[in-house]
Amino acid sequence: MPRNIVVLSFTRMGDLIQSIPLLRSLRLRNSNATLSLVVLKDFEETAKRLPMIDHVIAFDVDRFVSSLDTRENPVGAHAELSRLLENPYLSDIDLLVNLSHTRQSATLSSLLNPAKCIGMHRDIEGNLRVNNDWIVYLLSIMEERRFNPFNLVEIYRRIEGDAFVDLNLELALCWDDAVEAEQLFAAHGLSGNRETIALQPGASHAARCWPVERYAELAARFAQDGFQVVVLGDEAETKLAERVSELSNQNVVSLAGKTSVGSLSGVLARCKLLVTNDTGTAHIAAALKIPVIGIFLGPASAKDTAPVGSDHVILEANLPCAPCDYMKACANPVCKSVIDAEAVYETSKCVLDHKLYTLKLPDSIKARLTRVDAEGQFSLQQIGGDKTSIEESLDFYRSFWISFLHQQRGIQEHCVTERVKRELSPGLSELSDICSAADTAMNELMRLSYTESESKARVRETLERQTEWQSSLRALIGNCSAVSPLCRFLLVKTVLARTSSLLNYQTDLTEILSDLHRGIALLESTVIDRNTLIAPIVGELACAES
Amino acid sequence: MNMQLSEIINSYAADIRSGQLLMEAADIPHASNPQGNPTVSFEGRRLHSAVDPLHEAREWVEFYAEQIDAVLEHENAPIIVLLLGPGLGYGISALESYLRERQVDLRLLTVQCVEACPEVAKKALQLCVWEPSLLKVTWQIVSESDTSANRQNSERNSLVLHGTADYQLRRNEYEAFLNNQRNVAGESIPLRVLVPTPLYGGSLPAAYHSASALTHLGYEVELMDMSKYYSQFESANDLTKSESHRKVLKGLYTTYLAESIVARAIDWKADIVWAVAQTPLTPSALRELTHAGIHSALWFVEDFRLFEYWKEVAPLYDVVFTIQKGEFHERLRSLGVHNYFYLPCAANPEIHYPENPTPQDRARYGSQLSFVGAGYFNRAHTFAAIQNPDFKIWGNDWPSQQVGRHRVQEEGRRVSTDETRRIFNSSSININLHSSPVHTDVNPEGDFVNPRTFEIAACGAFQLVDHRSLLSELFDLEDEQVTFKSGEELRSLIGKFSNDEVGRRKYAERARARVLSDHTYEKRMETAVNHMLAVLPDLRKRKHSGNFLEFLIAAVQDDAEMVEYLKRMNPATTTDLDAIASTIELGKGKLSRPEGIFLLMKEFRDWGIEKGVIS
Repeated sequence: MPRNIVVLSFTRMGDLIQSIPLLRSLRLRNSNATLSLVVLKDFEETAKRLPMIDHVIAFDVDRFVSSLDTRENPVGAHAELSRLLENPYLSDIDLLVNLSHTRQSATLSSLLNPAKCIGMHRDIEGNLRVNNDWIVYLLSIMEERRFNPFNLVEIYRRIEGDAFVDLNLELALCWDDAVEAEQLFAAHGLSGNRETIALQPGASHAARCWPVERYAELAARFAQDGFQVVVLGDEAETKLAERVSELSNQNVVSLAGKTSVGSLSGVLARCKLLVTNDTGTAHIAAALKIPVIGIFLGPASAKDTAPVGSDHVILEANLPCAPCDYMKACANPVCKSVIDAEAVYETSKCVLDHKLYTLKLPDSIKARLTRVDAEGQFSLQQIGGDKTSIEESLDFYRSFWISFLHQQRGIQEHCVTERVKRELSPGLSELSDICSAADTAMNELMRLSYTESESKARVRETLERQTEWQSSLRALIGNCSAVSPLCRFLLVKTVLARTSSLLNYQTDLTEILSDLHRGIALLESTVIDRNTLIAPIVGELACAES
Repeated sequence: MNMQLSEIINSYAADIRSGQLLMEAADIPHASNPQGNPTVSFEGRRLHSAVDPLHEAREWVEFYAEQIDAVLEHENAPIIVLLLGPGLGYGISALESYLRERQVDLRLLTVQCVEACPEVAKKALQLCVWEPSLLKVTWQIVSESDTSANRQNSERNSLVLHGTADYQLRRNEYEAFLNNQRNVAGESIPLRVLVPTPLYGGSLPAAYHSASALTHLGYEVELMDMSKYYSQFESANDLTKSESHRKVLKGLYTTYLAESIVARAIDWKADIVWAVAQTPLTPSALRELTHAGIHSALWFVEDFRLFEYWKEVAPLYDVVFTIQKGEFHERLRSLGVHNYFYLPCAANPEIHYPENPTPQDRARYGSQLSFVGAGYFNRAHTFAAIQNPDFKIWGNDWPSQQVGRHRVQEEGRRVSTDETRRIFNSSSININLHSSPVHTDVNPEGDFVNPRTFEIAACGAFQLVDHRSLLSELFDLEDEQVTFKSGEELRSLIGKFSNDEVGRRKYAERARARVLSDHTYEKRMETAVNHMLAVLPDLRKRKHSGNFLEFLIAAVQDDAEMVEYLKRMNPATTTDLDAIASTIELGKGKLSRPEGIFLLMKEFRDWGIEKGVIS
């Protein structure tokens, strides 16, 4: 049993909070171990409110990077790094879980020299490695997330292998947080007895933000209904929050830039509802069991980052392009104009009155309800409307990835609809061809290691054959979207394959090919009609018996 | 040990320890060729040609000829030649012959032979194949572990020559010795200067000459020749007749060019961006440079009264250099510019030098009286009154009717820099009248001195120059320059000097000597950099940051593994984090802890640069 567990999370606040179920799972499985969390300095306060963590170690990345200016001798950076490495909780690590999927975190993971590491790391020779297929999966969905059925919370939790831990988020609210919030309320003339609604108009990127005028309109409606309205945000969002207050023409109070992580939690705990873009504040509210209405625009994907818990509502534009693919700049953000203030107001009333079943929104808006069921599984349930083709595919992929990555039972039959079969068939045939080509190329590669004197040209030719089937895999992504998630997953693995030696390359490619075979077998099992397969055999057996 | 060798050792040994090692060294045998020239083998390797070691040594010196010449040209102080692995010392004689051929004062040179094999050095001293001369020769014995003896040689060596076979025999030891010596000397890191030129115009040569001078001074220089973009810039004229639209297009293109300069400066990690007047650097680009921690300097080699765009940009440069003083400096101060310095124009003696014109050049470019420049109002007016029949006017925009069609040469085309040198050298009297669009002859309030004054002087040519208030600070007006204050005085001086070749030569020679000693671009750049170092403390810190590796090792003293790792680096090439990171090979053997630390720093730094957090 590991005695010293370290989790490395150089991520933003939202991701940090979404890792709570994973941290909880680590805590429950290793109740006697010391559980330390290494986070960026900015999120130290948030980390301190995670009840399952014994020690929080903050790394001031801004200071560290600024001392790495090309003009400076990196002695300052070395000192900073030494301080981190010499932290007593970071020595003799039995298990390190790296939740930050960057080269830097991989190198740091290896420098900490843990007995076991889960996540991106460097091996003894410095090769970049990812030893967890759920993290490979996470990397593979960065560019195309349409077919990702999992919320980040669930992916994180599955990284550690525990599929059954409760997915609900939790944050410890300290006494100080409550006091701070009370003082903040008093200082701004806010009453502790009136019902309060919080708005969070900012986000990490402008593309994710619902227009400020609509927040103002919404704030005005709430204020007219007698609610006390506060606008939240960090220091950089002060002007935005003040603009909401100004445009509302009501007594709407901006607390942006005035809250610490603690007092933000305290303020949210006093609220009836939070209306927000896709933000870390949404996750804090969810962890405090405050109802959230999340307006997910631009690249914000509810599937990936909706606040986890029950009865939060996610509003999205019902557009084929939504959400934007990650890191793609949109020149025409039509999604911003689809959701009007009236729709959000109506949704809010239904949430506050516990009458979501009465909610009627225009078809242009997609409303989904978050749900954590009795088994702790998280899902998004559409409020009204039929399942679309994409949603059917998502059910299928959910079952596929769980089977594939946990090497468990086959795909659940109810997830394999006729539409799914139709979409899969053409891609599957091409995938099988690629697999045959890859097998042949792999055999040639294996022969290389048994032949002592191969010409350079021959070696080069053999290695080029490997890149050929990988290119075909890449081409298939564009040609057949139904098999593209599997192709992307395999391609991430090829990128990570070690090319430092022939033996390493062979080992890594063998594993990839094994995945390819397994993936094809799993997909084929869904497409092939079992009755047509079994009937002749049954017939043959019957003949033999007679 | 016989007495004679002991005396030789005492007289040649560079230090006591070397002497001691030479005394103690074993004797090794030698052989001679038919001409009686000895050679020796050591550790199974012949150190010199057995056939003709003298010829071999001559070829060896020829190999280094260019390097030797370059040092001799730029080094006035005593020169130390460090000869690593001299073998029996044939190279000393060959070097001496080469220096004699170039009439170098041998007393200025010391040849320091550095030998890693005491046995070889002892044999060299026994045989003494070089002839004692004015050249001072010393022998120093070194070994890899030996660093104590080097401290006395910590001044920068002017010239380092590598011997042939002997050097190869102990290559690592010689390199370690050299690196150690450089460390002790604490060689400063040369500043990186990016010199973007203007797109066109009179300031363009100043940028080229600045870059060349800075290179000669030992700075790391990158010339960004923006003149190649001039045709694209001008192509706006072909697109539209609308002046306002042309202005917009040219403005956008200038913004693009300015951003290119910023991008290059950041990418190349420049310490200073050295701009001259009309270099396309916009206010926002200058702000970006400041934000990126890159210093910028402007040499405004224009008349501040005629070109006023300096007002917009001067406050954004870290340092401004001007060719005018007084009112200009007051106006800069009122704009909030604190770091401004007077830096007059200059000449580049590599471009403008005396030469005897060929008969063809004399026929084409020569005349008794000449002028090179554009046809400004005061010039046209003044020259129209000159009656001299042999008067050639070179340059553009001349009113031919007024000054005489036959005088304006080759249809008033622009002349190249090369041609100006030929004209100056082929003319008896070069008139140099500073331009003025309002005066009829000499501008009585003219202050700055134009580049032509220095260029004519650098050519050793004679000139009559109009009076300028700042001229007397730059030249002795009694002996070095002849000035006039009016058109009338000019005409009188032409009459006076037309037939006075001796007088002309006297002035020309003194003016040239003055330019070479005080008014070259190298002198200007030296002054400019000194001013910048004086007012920009972090630039000073950067220049004198000393040896990167030494500083780093001192800072990580407590970490033995790290110290051990860093000590394996080559101090000469390990000058930044990139250099250390480039030695890390992933997938090739175990990644050590120090390697991991430097890899991590490099990864975070690349990330910081990509995010624009650092530069």
